[in-house]
Amino acid sequence: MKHPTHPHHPHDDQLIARLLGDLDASAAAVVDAHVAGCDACRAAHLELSATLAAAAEAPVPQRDEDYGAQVWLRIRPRILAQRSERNGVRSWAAWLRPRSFALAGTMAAMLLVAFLAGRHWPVPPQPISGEVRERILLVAVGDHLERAQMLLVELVNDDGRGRAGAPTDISQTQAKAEDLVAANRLYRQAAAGSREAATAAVLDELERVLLDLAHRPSQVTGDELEQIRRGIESKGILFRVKVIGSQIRGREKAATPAFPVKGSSS
Amino acid sequence: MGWMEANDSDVVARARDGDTEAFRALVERHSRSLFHLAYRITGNENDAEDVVQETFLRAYRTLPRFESRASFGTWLYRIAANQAVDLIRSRQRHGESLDADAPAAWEGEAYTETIPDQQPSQDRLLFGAQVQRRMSAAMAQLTPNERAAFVMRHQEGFSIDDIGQALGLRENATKQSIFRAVQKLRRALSPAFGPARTGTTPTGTKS
Repeated sequence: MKHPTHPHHPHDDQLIARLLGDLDASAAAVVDAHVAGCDACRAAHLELSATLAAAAEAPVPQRDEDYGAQVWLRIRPRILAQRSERNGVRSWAAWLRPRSFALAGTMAAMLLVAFLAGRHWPVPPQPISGEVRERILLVAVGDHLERAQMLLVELVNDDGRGRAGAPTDISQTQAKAEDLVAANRLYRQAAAGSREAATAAVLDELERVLLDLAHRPSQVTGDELEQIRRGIESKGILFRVKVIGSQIRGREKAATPAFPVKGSSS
Repeated sequence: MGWMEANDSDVVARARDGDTEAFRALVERHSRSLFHLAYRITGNENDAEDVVQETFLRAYRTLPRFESRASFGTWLYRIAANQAVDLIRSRQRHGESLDADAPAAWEGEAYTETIPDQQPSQDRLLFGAQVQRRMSAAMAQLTPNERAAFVMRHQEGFSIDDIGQALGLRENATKQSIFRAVQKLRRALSPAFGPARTGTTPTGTKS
């Protein structure tokens, strides 16, 4: 039956748009008026309405309140890996900027400059000798090992954590571990490339410990914390880091000539 | 102020600066609603879980390109919708069932004799279950874009513009995807809700 005042039936798309709230007020009023007086369109409208209602009622499996935390645990290793890659790229990019080079003062940048300057600067402003490169590497690795040592000592000796039964938040320690991972990888590769096998081996072992620590949940039980401590102690990594760090400091001292670095022209 | 109290823009700014704890707060804040959207589009719990995880990984990767003027939530949901559509297409390319959670067959299943009255009853429950089975199977027959566009508009309340951006469709194509989806679902459910059951037959000519 045609409606006397609205002879043209709205197209189904208009009915759908009306039900989904996608018509402006005037268009919606026209459709509503027609549907109110037209049996055929009212039937179509009801049918579409019931279809949309059934779709809206389709059940969705619920997830627990801590679902977000579970998702984070699952993706965290890959996020950290991405972060390490990003940091690595930043370090390489950073040393290419003269101003950053002057200001950064980071051991990682110095290490990269020392190793790469001769190979990547089209016209090296100052040739850097093998001795100087070695000394910069030693300083950088020595500092890095000191930071790693402090982290491990903090973990092994802190008896105040994880003993009360409640989970312990190790996120601060993990953040430090994450920061050390990227630098550690660079130093390990540099050491391996320089035939510093003993240093490379310790850095390799240290990297595993740091990654293991960084990839754990940030909340750990007392037992889990104890397990981390036992793992560190059983591998003797703290002792090996101390020994190699001490050796490097000794070599660094022996290799240090009168500064400045630019005086090296051999 | 803790991460969970801070608004998205503060937390996003910290996450962009490399603060993984800030990104973690965003993951914890948005995972459940992302799962909701992903499940609606994929129709499968495992696929929805995958979509949620891949969405956050992609978001982290592309976070430096995120424009802080935009809504982080909307940006995230666009990525999720896109991921879900890609996953459905991938399933289809490999000839896998689009909707593993949907019943294998519903064709020929007879509805209860009449639409049950409003009183809760066995008949009404049975009818509701039949409708949902048919709905689930019909959703699985939609194209990925139809399914995503329909879910985003009707079930998740996204604007046509946001849906178009998520799916890479122009406004008209987005609307047409939604219309086609509704018509397909309507046809699948017509034995339950259609004119044949109500006894009303259109007599006018549709323009």
